[in-house]
Amino acid sequence: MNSENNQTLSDAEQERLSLFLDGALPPNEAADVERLVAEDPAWKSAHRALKITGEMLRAPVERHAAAARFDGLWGGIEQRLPASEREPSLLDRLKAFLRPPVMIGLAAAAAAAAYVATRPSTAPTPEAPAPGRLATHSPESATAVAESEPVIIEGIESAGQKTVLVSQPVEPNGATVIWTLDAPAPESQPGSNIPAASDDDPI
Amino acid sequence: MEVKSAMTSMDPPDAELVEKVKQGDRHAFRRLVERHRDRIHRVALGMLRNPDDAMDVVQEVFIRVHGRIQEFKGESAFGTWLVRVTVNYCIDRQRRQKTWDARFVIDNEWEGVSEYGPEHKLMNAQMGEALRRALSELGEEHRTAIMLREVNGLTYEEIAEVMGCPKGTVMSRLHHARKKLQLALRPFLEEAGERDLAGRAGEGVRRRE
Repeated sequence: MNSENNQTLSDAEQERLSLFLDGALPPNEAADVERLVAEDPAWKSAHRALKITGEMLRAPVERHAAAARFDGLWGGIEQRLPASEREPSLLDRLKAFLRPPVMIGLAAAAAAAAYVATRPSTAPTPEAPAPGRLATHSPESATAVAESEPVIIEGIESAGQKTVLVSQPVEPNGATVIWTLDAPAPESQPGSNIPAASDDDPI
Repeated sequence: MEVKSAMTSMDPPDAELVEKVKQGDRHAFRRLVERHRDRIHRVALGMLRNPDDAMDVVQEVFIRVHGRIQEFKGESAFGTWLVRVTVNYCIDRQRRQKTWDARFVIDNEWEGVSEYGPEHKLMNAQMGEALRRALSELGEEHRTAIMLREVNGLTYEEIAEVMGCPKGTVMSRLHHARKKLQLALRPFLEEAGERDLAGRAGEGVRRRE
């Protein structure tokens, strides 16, 4: 195993000790090394030297890391970022917060609210709209809706599924109906999922 | 690996923030900086052993990363990519200066290994000098591997990813580096062992004085 006279380990033994310190040995081998470190002077000496080496390497780093202050770090970085880059707008943050399912739910709720707002307050009349049609409680308003152009306010894409939110003003009371329209998913491009040849290269 | 992080369960994952940064979201980048700055600082401290240089490196690395964020494809963890960028930057810096060992700062406030204590300051200083010399004599790759393992606690797999080499190569480099460093410290440790024995007989410190 080793020479008791010169108190050194062979190269293979050193490598085994290195693996032991890194917790990379299987349990039975680790137990064997643990026993050698406890009983064999050469193993004990080498083990102690490696532990102290690690401590000497870590000590100054730990001390300086603990004392580090990053107060001016972001300011220094920000000064050197491209000036054209912008802070996220309110709409960007809203979009990030309101994921597509939330947006669709919100649009549905808005549509329902608009329907309630534009519905006649009395009991249903013979002029009530057919099922599936919204917000036309009189011939006049129906005409107004037909004449007003829908306005697309937002397009959302999630997992290949596109959803378009459309606002439709309803005159004369100013209420707005919001529609959600699911567009068909685009055809996938052949080879579009082939990863790039290069990995995340270091800079 | 012990990674100081300000991340909470409510924070978006790195990948999400990276995508936002790619869209020009500076706020998202700031969150990434705050999340990873400690880790990058520790890597730079381990590589350069100089607190002032290490803080410079943190800033430079994040500016580099921001400029090349479009190249990050998410094939490795963002944190690992950051460490890789940091290591490469530190190596470039060392090569430019060509004086790695001169930049190595001996930690005068180091109180010594726990088993000896502050009363052995002279020996600690000698050991520090021996370690500095041994580190400077190590090849760049061996030195990087031992620092990432001992100081930053990276696993073999993480070191392999950072250094762009097989895991077996990492194990070999660590073994080689440890052997060299251990040999450098061995005379001091043997002397300390003898002194400990002498100390038990009441001759310890007086004999050295």
